[in-house]
Parts: sequence; structure tokens; C-alpha cells
Amino acid sequence: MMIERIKMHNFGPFYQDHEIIFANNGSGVHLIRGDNGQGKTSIQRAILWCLYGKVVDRKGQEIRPTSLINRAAQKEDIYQFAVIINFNHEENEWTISRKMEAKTNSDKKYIEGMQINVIKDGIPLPNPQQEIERILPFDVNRFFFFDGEMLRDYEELLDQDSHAMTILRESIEHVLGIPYLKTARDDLYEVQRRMEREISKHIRKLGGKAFEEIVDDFQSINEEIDDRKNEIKKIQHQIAILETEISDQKRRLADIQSVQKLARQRIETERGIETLEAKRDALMADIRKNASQMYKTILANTSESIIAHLQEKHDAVMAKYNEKQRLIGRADDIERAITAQKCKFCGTVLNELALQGLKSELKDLRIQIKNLTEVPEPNLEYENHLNRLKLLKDSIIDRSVFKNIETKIFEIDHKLGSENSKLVGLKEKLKGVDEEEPRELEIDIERRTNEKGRLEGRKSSEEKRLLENLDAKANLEQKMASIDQEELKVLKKRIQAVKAIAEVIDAAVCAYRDERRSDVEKKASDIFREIRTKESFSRLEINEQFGLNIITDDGTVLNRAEWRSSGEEQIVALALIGALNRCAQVRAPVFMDTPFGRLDTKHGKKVLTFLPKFSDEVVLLVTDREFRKGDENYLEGKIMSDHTVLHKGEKQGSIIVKTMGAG
Amino acid sequence: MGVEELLHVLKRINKERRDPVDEAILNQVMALVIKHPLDEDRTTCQTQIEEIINQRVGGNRK
Repeated sequence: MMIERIKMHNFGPFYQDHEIIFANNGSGVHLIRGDNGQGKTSIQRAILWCLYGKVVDRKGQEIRPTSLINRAAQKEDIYQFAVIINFNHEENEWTISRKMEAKTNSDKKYIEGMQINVIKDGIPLPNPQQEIERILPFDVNRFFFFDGEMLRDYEELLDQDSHAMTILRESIEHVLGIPYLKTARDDLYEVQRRMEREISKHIRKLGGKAFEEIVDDFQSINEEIDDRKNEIKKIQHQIAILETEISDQKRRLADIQSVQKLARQRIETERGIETLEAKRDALMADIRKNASQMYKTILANTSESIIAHLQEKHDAVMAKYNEKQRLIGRADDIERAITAQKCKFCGTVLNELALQGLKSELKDLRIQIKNLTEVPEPNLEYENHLNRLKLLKDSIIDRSVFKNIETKIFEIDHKLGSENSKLVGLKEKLKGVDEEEPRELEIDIERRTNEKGRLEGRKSSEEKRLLENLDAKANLEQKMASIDQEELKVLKKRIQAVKAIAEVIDAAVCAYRDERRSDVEKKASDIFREIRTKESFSRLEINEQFGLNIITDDGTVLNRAEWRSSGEEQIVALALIGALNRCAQVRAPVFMDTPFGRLDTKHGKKVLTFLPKFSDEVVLLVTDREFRKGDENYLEGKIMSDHTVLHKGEKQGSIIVKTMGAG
Repeated sequence: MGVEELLHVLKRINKERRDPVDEAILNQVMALVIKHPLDEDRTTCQTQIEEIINQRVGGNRK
């Protein structure tokens, strides 16, 4: 399928008629540029709507027809919109036109008034929707028309054990052609049943009345076998649904249990924070206490010289005081000697001369004592000051004490910071948790597990009865084999042939799936190596669910949780989609809406260089931030058309013009 | 990548059998199914498969 032209009428932002012609019959790379909100995505939606009559938004919700029609047209009471696609498919020219027309602006009326035409080489075809399904099945369109913003979703879905994952995995199998084998096998089984009914008729015809009973038995056993097979299939389907539901619920329960674990962590964290805060308060009290004594440290340095100065002063005073005391003592002795007129020590009577000498000495002494009378008495207050200063010197606080406390507070603050941020995270995770949910889930899981067990029991009993039916059928076949008729022989031979072909095809399903998976893995790895920027990322590895892991040079397996970068996840998803396109049984153009949104310049360049190999027709819907001036060079002349979408306001809507300056 | 890989796997599986089936029938059946992949096609497709079997196995007698 190569899209050559799209025509839109009153679709989305496009008022009245607009068209895009993809030059070179659609082959090559085509650019559709436009800023956000101009209408690029609407072009992709127009194609999907034209093909399938429905289109979904980025949340996967179907967009209602009343939201698809152009608003300006609506205001003019025009309730008609249409899209026409011209394309070449398997060397035939095709036109698909879809139109919705209503008398009032109502979803129901639009759907009732939908018209679809598929024309192949000028001839209208009778079952248009079926013809489209043959060309590009709805299930696989996601691998050809994709939104860069949604690329991560593929890998996310593939990681999940859910119904959505099953649908995606089936889509992948579909695009790889695996359902062809399953359909062929089932068709052959149906052909076999038809032939068995035929053989019954022949046996009746050829064997006469004697075989009536056997034939009837054969017929009814065949019907029973069919019924049982259908029943088993139905039970299997129910079991599969239950398994999906149980696994969804178990996952939810695991999530909740991890939440309960988080709740315990929150309590522990809160306790830890309380303990740390108490320690911190105690240390702060220590600091305050030490700070209140800090004046001693400040005064201690000066106290040394004050003590020395006071001591010196005190010593001088004491020297004078002692001298005065000595002189007073001497004066008293002399006075007593003069009074007694004899020597205090030897008792010798003093003569006049000696007395005069003593009187003269006494006079001098009194002068000296008088001179010394200004000397203060020993000062007790001084002693007190001195003692205080000496004590103060002993109470000096070492700086290291503060430093140690500060270090401890810093460590506690650091721990508190991390514990508080942990607490915020935990509180966030615990928002809106329903405490009853785990119990309800457990009850539900138990109920479903019981139901599953019951179904498995029924299945096993049906299987047992099926085996009994098959034995009975084999016995009847043996009896019928006794009819030696050429016609029957041929029919039996045909049944054997059909059975054998069905067996071959059945055996091929798994083998083909495995081969395709390994083919996808190889091709995805090839593409990945072309568009990666980290050389250490060696290849991709595909799992049972078609999910991909990155394998590094040293063989380390990096799963999604470890990639971290959303750009890298987009690269991996692109590699997977590229590989699926290469391995696909379907040929179709690739439309990429905002494919480089999450990519850095390096990855963007690599992807651009690779793009022409993605498909024969690649249409890029890009903003100017994604596709910068000069990026054309990476496409090496493969750009065949270049359009720009411009929104001209509410009334005129969006228009499509050839990009200015494009080659 | 086309139908070739699918047929290649079928041929390989068939050859591994003790009693391989006619490859031409395999090819024809697969070609029919690929041409008629839809649920709506089943009856038509099964009738055509039956015709192929009738032609290829035991002559064209009904």
C-alpha cells in the first residue's frame, strides 16, 4: 500500500477542501511540518478514520463524529465531512472515500449517514470494509500509524500481564502473519468435519440398512466431539479470562502489599525523625549552655595580664605594708628603750648620747612611718577578684567542644533531611490507599481461583469424555472400514490428507512464531545499532511477550526499569516497530507523528538517517523544534514532498501549503 | 519478508514428518487463507480448500 493522495473535507481543523499529494507515487520520505495545534495529527486521524470509520485520541478513547467535523462548518449548519485516500496496492489503483452526513449535529445521525466506497481500478467493490481489512487490518494499524509520544506505551504494555498486553501481543502476531497458520488449521478441521459428514451419507447410501445404526452413531459421535471441542474451547477461554483477572488482582495486591510495607516504613521513619529531633534538641541545649559560658573564654585571655598586674600591685603594697610594720616595731622598741633608758636586749643603761641617738632615730622612723601611712591595708576584695579570675581561667571552653557538637548537629540535620524527604515520598505514595482493598482482593482472588479450579475440573472431565468419544469414533471407523467401497476409500483418503495437512500447519504455528520472534530480535538489534548513541549497547533481546531488553557489550541485561532515559526507551520502541515493519506480512506506509519528541539531537540525527529504510513510504509529521533547518541533509535527497500545516484562525481553520524554501 | 518464510517453515516441518504431505496442497491452502483472511471469508475459503483436496487426493470424484 502506497498512499498517493489524501483529500479532506470539513475534517477536524480543515474547513472545506484540502489535499496533500505525496509525490513520486508516495515512495520516499514526505514531510508534514507544523507547530503544535496546527492540525498535523488530524491528517493522520483523517487517514485512519477513512480506513476504519473510527479514530481514537491519545488516551485511546474513540473520538465522536461531532468532534471530528470542522467547527466553522458546524457554525454554518453544514453537517458533512469526508476523507478520500488514493493509493496503490499490489499494482492496482485504489480509492477509499468515507463520508459522514447528517441533518443535525448528532453522533447518532452521523453514524447513520456514513457512506464508504472502495474502488479498485475504477470498479466499486461490494464489501468495502472487508476489502480494507484485507489490505491493512485494523489490529495492525498501530505499527504503521503511530504517535511518537505514545511509543513508550508499546514497551509498557509488553511489560504488563494484562488484557491490554494480550491484545498487543496478538497484534504483533497478526502483523507477523501467525494468524494465517491458525486460520488455515481451523479451516482444515472444518473441512475434515464436512468430509466426515459426507462419509456418513455415503456409508448410509452404500452400506444399506445394516449400517444405519453405525452411521447414526458415527454421526452423533462426530457431533458430540464437535460439541465437546467447542465446550473445551469455551472453558479454556473462560480459564484464560480468569487467569488474566487473577494475575491482574495479584499484581494489584502485590502493589497494595508493597504499600502496606510503605506504611510501616512511614511509621518507622516518623519515629526515627522524632529520635533525631530529640538528639538535635539536646545538642542545641548543649550549645546554648556552652555559649552562656563563653564570656569566660573571652575574659580568660585578658585575665592573665590582669592577674599579673594585680599581683604586682598587691606585692608592692604588701612590701610597703611589711616595711611599715617593721618600722612601727622598731619605733616601739626604741620608745621603750628611751622610756626605760636601757637596752632592750643587753639591759645596759643608756647614756645621754645614746638616748639622743635613739630619739633622733625614732624621729626618722616616725617620718618614714608617716610616709608609709598612705599605703592601704591588705585588700580582701582583691583576693576575691583574683580567685574569681583564676577560676575563670580554669573554666575556659575549648573550641573543639563547639565543633564536635556542630558536627553532630550537621550529621543529624543531614539524616533528618533525608528522612524527611523519604517521609514526603512515602506520604505521597500512601495517598488514597483503601485499607479494606487488600482483604477484598484476597477474597476475590480466592473466589476466582476456586472458579478456575471448578472450570479446570469441568475441562478435564470434558477432555476425558472427548477421549472416550474419540475411541468410540475409532471403533466405528474400524467397523465402517469393513465396507470395501471405492468411493469411501477416496473420502477416507481425503480426510487423512486433510488431517495430515492440519497437523503440519498446527506444528508450524509454534515453529513459525519462534522463528519470527528471533527474526524480529535480529532485525530490531540491527536497527538499534544504527540508531543508538551508546556504543556499549550491543544488541536487543526479545522475550516471550515481544518485550525487549538491551544487552551491553559485557552481556549485562538492561531491562526497562534500568534504561531510565525515556529517549532510550523510545529508541528501543522504534527499533521494535521498525523490525515488525520489516518482518510484517503487510506492506503499508509508515506515518510518524512527533517521532523525535523525546530524542536528543544525536539520537534525532541517527533516527533521521535511518528513516528512509523504515518503509518504502515514510510520512513525518514534525514540529520545527523536532526537524531543524539542515536536517534535510540527513535524509540524503529522499524527501519527495514537503508540506506545512498552518492554522489561520477559528473561521478559516487550517490550511496545507508547500513548505517555503523546500527543494 | 513475505509469505515465503511462512511457506519455508511449513515445508521444513512437513519434511521432518514420517509421512510428508503434498507440498503443493500446503502451498495452495496457505495461498487461499492469505487471500481470504477475514472471518467473513471462512465459508468460501473452506469450500475452496475442500475443492483443492478433492482435486488433489483420489481424483475429482464426489
